[in-house]
Amino acid sequence: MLQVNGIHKRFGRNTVLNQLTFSAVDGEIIGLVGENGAGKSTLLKLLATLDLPDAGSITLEGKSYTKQLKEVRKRIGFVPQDIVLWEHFTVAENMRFFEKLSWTKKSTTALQSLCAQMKLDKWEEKVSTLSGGMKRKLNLAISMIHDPKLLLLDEPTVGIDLKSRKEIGAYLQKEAKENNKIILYTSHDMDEIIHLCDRVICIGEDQFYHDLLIREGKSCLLLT
Amino acid sequence: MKSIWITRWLHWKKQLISLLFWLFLPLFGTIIIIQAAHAFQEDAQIPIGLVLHDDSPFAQQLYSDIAASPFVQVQILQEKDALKQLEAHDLDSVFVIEEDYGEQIQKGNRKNVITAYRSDLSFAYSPIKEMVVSLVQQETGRSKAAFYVMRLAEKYPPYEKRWSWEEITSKSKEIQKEEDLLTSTFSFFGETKKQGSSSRLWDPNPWGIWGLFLILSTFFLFDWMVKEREKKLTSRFAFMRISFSAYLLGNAFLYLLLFLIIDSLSFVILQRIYDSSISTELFLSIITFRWMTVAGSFIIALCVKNIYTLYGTGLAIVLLFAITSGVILPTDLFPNSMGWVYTYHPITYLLHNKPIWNWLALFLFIIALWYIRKENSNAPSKWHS
Ligand SMILES: Nc1ncnc2c1ncn2[C@@H]1O[C@H](COP(=O)(O)OP(=O)(O)O)[C@@H](O)[C@H]1O
Ligand SMILES: [Mg+2]
Repeated sequence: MLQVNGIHKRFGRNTVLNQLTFSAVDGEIIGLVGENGAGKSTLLKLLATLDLPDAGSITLEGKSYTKQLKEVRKRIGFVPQDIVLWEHFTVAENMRFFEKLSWTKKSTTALQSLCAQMKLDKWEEKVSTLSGGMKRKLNLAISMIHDPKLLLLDEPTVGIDLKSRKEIGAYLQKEAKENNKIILYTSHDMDEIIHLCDRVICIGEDQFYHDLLIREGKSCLLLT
Repeated sequence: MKSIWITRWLHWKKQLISLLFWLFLPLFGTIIIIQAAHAFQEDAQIPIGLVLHDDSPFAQQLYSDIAASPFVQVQILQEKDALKQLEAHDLDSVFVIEEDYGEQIQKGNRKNVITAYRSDLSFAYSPIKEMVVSLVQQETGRSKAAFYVMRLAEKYPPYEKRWSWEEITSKSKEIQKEEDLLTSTFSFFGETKKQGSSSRLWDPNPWGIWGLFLILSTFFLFDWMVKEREKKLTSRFAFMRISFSAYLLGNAFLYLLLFLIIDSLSFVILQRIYDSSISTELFLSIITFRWMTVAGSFIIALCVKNIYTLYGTGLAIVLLFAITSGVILPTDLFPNSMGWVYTYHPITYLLHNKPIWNWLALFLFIIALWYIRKENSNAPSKWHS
């Protein structure tokens, strides 16, 4: 369970998030949409503890973002917008590198099967020779090594081929439904959002937040 | 630590060649520079031939005095060979010490004791002749004085002690040596060199050269830190067991260990080549010097955003140290008022075989402050802004 209570964020005079309140239950996939510069990335960073809100509070599974930072961070998987990988390493070496520094120990087989779940099968190949879609998958796989409860993705599917998009989408859905993860992600692709997400939070320029519930992939029910 | 070791090994095995190159640069660089300096010196020395028809200690003394000059390279030859080589221009000039040289010197006579030969291509004949003449003059002067003292002693019998000729001349030499030492130490801020022991024009201290190379290689090897800080790794490290600052420190420590292994090896090898005794003072000095350099590189790598800034800083520091340390340029180029520079100069510690605790402590203190601040800040770390 993720709870966001009245958070407020501004950069100088530029108020980006104003009194945003919402919660997410286990197994839910939430899409974040909005114009460029609306504050989607800013919201993800706040949820990822990478930045502090000016006001308001956030809790994850009852753990406070300010008082139990370490406990919260153990439960977060953050997939950065930039691809953060060692280009001259193989997929295996990248997985091994980040596994060594992560909260959980995982065997090579476990790491390999994690990659296989999102159809990333080029285990021994150098990252620099991989396609954009493969790199995105690896970027995601690394964030999943420590089995986070909350998964935050900033435009995970931007600029990659349709097949990889579908494979990533299928993986996220499986993680939410089978492993009860809470997933928040941003995308420009409305089709993808409607297809994948249970809910959509729309961040408007007027700082009104429209919380939409999606059912059966098509019809939407306005909540707020 | 083990996990950091594994992650670092993943990096190292990708760049083994360049890693080994930079690790061994101080050792091989030092050997190459010193050998080159010696070879250049030998080339620059003027070859002369010496023919000894006299085997008295005076002739031997003259030979060793000439050989001690950094400008000439002396060969003892038979007269026939010497003249043949002179004709072939293999020798610049030839000096023949005649049979009665020792006798004549003792009498204070310096006429016709040496015969000199030159060829039409001898270019250094005059200065070398002057040098030989002055050495002979010095010897005869000393001898004359000794006889004078002996005569005085005979004239005034109340003197208990009768000085022999040998005693007087050796005392005179002793005094001369002391005076030499006195004048030459004036030009050095510290007694960094064993005065008078070197017969070379430029004889750089191997540890000084090594220290300069060490700074360069440490800075160049610390580019991993700039590269990894530049990569937006913090967005991953926030969610890992090991914090980014602990990761950086752990890796720096691994580099330090690797360096110390190489340094111990270099220490043994360089000691073998340039000095026979293994000194624990020097070893401690080397270890603390390396430690200080690693700590310094760590701090600078934390401050710069671009690897070229790091390389440039390293080069600038090496250049500055090369000029100011007295390893390459003689220190007497600088005014005495700048003596404090040498007292606190990191290279000076190395030349004096002293451990460099003060700089090391300062750098470690700065790193500790940085680490405590990073670890205690609950706010998300902002490495890139
Ligand atoms: N670190 C920052 N400093 C100042 N302004 C920022 C910073 N990060 C984001 N902003 C501003 O906040 C607004 C929202 O940015 P962002 O969250 O990246 O938008 P989105 O991801 O929805 O395109 C933009 O106007 C941007 O200029
Ligand atoms: Mg964005």
